[in-house]
Amino acid sequence: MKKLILLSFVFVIVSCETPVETPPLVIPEFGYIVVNEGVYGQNNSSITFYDVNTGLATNNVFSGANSGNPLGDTANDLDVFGSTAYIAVDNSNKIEIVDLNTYKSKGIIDMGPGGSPRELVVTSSKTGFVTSLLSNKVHKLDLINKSIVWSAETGAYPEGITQSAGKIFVANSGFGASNTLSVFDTLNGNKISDIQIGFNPRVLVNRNDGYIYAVCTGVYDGIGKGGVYKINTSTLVSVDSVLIDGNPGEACFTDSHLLVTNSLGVFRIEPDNMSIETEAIISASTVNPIYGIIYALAYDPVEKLILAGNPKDFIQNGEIIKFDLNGKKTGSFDTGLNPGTIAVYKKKF
Amino acid sequence: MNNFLRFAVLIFFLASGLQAQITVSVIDSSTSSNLVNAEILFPQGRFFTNSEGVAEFQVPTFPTDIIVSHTSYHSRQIHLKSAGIYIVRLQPLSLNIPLITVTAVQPGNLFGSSGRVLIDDKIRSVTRDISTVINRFSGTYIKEYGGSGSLKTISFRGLSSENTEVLFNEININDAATGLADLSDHSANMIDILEMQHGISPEDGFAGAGGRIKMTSGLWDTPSHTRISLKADSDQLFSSALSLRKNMGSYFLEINAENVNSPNRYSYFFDGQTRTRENAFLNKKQFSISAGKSYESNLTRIYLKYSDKINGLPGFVVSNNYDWSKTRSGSETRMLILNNYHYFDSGLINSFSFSASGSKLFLADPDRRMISGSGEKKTSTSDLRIQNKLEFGLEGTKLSAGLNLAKAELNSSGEIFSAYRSDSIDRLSGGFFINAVFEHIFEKETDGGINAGLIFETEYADFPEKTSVNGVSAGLSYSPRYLSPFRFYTTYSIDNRFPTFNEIYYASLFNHTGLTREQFKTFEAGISARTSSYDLEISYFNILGDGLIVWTPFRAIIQVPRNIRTVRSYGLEVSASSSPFPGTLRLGANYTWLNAINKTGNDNDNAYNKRLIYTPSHKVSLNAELIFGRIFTILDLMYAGSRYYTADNDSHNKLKGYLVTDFSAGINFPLLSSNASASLTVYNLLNAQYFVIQSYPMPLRNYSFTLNLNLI
Repeated sequence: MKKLILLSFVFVIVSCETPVETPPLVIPEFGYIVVNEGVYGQNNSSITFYDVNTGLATNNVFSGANSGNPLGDTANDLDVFGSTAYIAVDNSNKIEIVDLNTYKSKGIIDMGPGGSPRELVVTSSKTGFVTSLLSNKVHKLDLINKSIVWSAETGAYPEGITQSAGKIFVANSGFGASNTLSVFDTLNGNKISDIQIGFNPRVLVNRNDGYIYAVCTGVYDGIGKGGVYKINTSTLVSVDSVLIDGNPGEACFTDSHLLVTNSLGVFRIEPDNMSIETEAIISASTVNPIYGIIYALAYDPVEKLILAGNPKDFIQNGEIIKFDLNGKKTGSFDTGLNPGTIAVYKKKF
Repeated sequence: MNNFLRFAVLIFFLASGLQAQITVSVIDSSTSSNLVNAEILFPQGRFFTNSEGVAEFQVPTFPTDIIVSHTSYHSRQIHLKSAGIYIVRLQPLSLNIPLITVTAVQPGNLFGSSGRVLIDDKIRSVTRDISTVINRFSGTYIKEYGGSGSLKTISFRGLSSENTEVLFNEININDAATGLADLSDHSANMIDILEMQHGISPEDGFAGAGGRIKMTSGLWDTPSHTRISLKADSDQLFSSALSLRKNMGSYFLEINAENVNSPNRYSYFFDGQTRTRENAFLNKKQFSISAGKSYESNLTRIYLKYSDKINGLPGFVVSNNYDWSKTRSGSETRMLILNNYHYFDSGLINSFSFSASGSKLFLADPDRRMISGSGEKKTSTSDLRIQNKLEFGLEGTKLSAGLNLAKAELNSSGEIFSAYRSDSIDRLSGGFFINAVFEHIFEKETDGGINAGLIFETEYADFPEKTSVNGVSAGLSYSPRYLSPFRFYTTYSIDNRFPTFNEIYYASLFNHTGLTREQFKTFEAGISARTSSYDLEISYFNILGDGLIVWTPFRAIIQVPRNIRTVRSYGLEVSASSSPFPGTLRLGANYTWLNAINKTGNDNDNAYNKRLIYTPSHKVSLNAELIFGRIFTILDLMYAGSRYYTADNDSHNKLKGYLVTDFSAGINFPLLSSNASASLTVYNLLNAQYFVIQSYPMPLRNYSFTLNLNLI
C-alpha cells in the first residue's frame, strides 16, 4: 500500500503546469512592428510592438488580441498600408490581415496548400502582390475580397518583391542556384523581362528614385560572394553593381546610404556610384555575439536610428538593437523568436 | 484501491489452482556446487535461488522459457514444457566445458542500473515495435512524430539520441549517416531479448553517458518452433510475421520474416478539431536467417538480415496548413553479423564479432519543401565493423581487453538549398579498451564485499580530421551482507563521441566547419536490490557535457548542428518491480527526474541555465501484467512532463505533459494443432491529445487485434 501512496504522490507532483501569460493589448501611435518568424514548423510566429515614446516592448501582441491564437508558422514579411498590416505567413499558407489599432485579425487570404507566401508589397488599400516560394509564382491580390486576381510563373524559389513604374519585380533566389529578376506587368501578370544579376537574389530595396537595388546573397560555399545590383526600372538594365563577400543579406536605405549586412556586419553603400565602405559601421558580433548573424535591418527616419535584428541562436527569443548613424549602440529591446522583419510605424509621419 | 486489492487477491486464489509448480536447482557445472542468488527470469517475473541454490515458483501456462543467469557464469535459456524439477548447470566464465550452451545475454551490471526483458508472445501481441518495452525502463525518453512507421529515437538522461548506442547481436547498428537507430524498424517479432544499460559496465566494457540498448536474436537455447503472428488495427495497419526454428544436435537454424502495410492514416486533434491525416503509405519487409553451431569449445553464429522499407514521413501540422505529407523515405538494408566465442583450456575466452551492412536510402519530396530540383535525395552507406575481446576470469577477477575497428562510407547526391551536391565521405575509426572487474575484494568467501571495475579506452577517428581521445571509467560497488540484498555503487567516467556524417555535412552547408567531438564526465551513485519478490533501483547521476551537439534552425527550413559548449544533466531515477502473486500479477514502475540545462555562460544568451529542449523534468511509467488462467491483461501507462522547444524556455513555447495508456487483454487457447493466443490492444485508451514533438500531433485511440499461432 505504501508503494501505491508513493506513486500517487509522484503523479500529484508531475501534474502541475505553469500558466501561460497573455500579453496586454497595445494601441500603437509610433513604434516598431517586429515580425518574429518563430521556428519553421513550430507554429510560433509572433508580433512584437515597440513603443518608441515609452520605450516598452510588448511581445505576442497578435495572439494576445486574438484569444491566444498564434500568428502561424514562419511569418516572413509584413507591409503596412494605412492602419492595416498585411503579413505573409509562409508555412501557414496565408496572408494575415491585421488592424493596427487593435491588433485583431481582419481575416486572411488563404493561399491554399503549398501557397507559401514569402514576401509582399501592398500598393493600395485594394491591391497587393506576393511571391510564393514553393509554387514559383507571383500573385496579384485583391485585398478587399481577400482573393487572388492573377498568378504568374516566376523563376525558382522567388523571395523579394517590389513595385515600380507599373511593374512588379521578383527576385528568383533558387535557394542559391538562380541569378535572375523577373519583371511583370502589374495589370495582367504578363512577364516583361528576366534580368540577369548575381546568384541568390533575395532582397529588393526600392528608393523610389527610378532604381531598385537587388541584394544577391551568393552561394553558401565558404566565400559567399554576392553583391548589390542597381536596376533601372524603366530600361530594366542593371546599370551598376558592387560585389560583396560573406553572403550579403538584409538591406535598407537611410536618408543618404544603402545599408547592407553580411557575415562581418553592416556596411554603407553610396547609391550614386555604388561604392562600399571598407569598414563595417556595425560589426556582426556586436549584434549577435553567438553566431554573428544579423537577421533584420531597418531604418527609423524619425529618430535617425538603424535597427538590427539579433536572432541569437535561433531557438530563443531575439532582440532588436538600436544604433545611431555612426554605428554606436543606443539601446535594445527584446522580441520573439527570430525577428526577421522590422517596420517603422507612425500613424502620421 | 481496497476494492482493487480484494479483486487482485481473489484473482490470485482463483488462478493459483490453475498454475504449475516449477523447481529449479542451479549449480556450477564444473564443481556441482549450489549457486546462491542466481537469477531466473521468466515472462511473468523474476526469482532468485536461495542459499541451497534452489528457486520455486509457478507458471500459468506451458510451454514457457526461462533465462538463468549469475554474475560470474554464462547465462542459459531453458525451455519448460511441463511442471517439474529442473537442474540447470551454469558454466563459469573462465572455464572450458564441452558442448557449451550459453545465451548472448550478459550477466547483471554490478556498477550501474540495467534492465532486461525477455520478449515473449504476449509482448509480441501488444507492441507495434520495441519502443513500448523501452519505455518501461527508467531514464529513457522516446521521440516520435506520429504514424505507423515514423522515426522513433531513444535518448537517455537528457542527452541526444546519437549518444545512445544500440546493439544488435553485440554489434552497433546506429545508422552510419545519422548516428541514430530508428526503433520503429525493430519489431518484437524479430528479437528475443531486449536489454538496457545506464552508466558504466566494466563487465562488457561499456561506458557511454548516453546509455545502451541491446537486442538479441537467435539465442542458442531457443527451442524449435513454428510461430505465426497476424496483426490488424483500426487505422488499417496489417502485419504478418513468421518465425521458424529448427534445432539439430549442435546446430540451429532460425528464420524470421515480417511484412507490415499501413496507409499511415490516423486521427489527431489540432486547432480545436479532430482531424484525420494520411501520410504516404508504409510498406516494411524484413527477413532474417540465423544459424549457429556449438562444438567442443567453440560457438559460432551467423545472422543475415534483409529489410526493405518505404514510409511516408509525417508532415508537421501548423495553422492553416493541415496538408498530408507526401514525402517518402525508403531504405533497403542488408546486414551480416558473425559472432564467435572460443573457450581456451587456459581459461581465456575470445569473443569475436564481425558485421558488414549496406543501405540504400532515398528521400522523395514531390512538393519540394525540403529538397529542391528533382525533389529526390539519394544516399548509400556501407559499414564494416570488427571487434575482438579476450576475457580471463579467475577467482573473482575478470580481465578483458579488446580492439574494435569500424569503416563507414557514405555517398550522397541531391539538391539541398544552395546547389546540387554529390558527396562521398568515409571514416575509419577504432579503439582499444581494457576492462577489469575485481569481485569480493575483502570478503571472498561470502556473498558480500566490495567490487571494483575499471575501463580504459582510446578512440581514434580520421574524419573530419585525425583525432584520438581517451576515456577512462571506474566503478565501485559494495554489497554488505548485513544489508542484503542491497548493493551500493558509484561510478565515474569520461567518454567521447565524434560527430556523425550528417552533423558534419549539414554544419558545412553554412560554412560552419568547427564542429567538435562531444565529451561527457559522468558521476553516478545508486542503490539496488534484487530479490525473488521485488527489484528496486535508485540512482543519482550528474553529467557534465562539453560540446554537446544540438540541431538548431538556421534560416527557414534547414537546421544546422552546433556545439553547445557546456551542459549539465543531473537527476534521479527510481525503478521498482514486484511480483506479489508470482505467475499471476507483475507490477513495474519507474520514475525519472531530470534537469538537463545549458551552462554556457553569455550575458546575451537567454538560454543560459535553461533546460535543454525536449527534456521533460518528470517521466513516469507503470506496467502491470495480470494472468488469470488462460486470460492475460497488460496495462502500460507512460507520463512525460512538460517540455520546452525553445532554448530560452519561453512559456509560450512549451508542450504540455501527456499521459498515454495502452491496455491489452488476450486469451491462450488450443486451435487445431497449435497453441494460439488472441488479444485486443487499445493504444491511447484515454484518447490523450498530445505532442511529443511540437507540430506533430500524435494519434488518438487505436484498436489492434493480434492472433499468434505456435504450431505443435
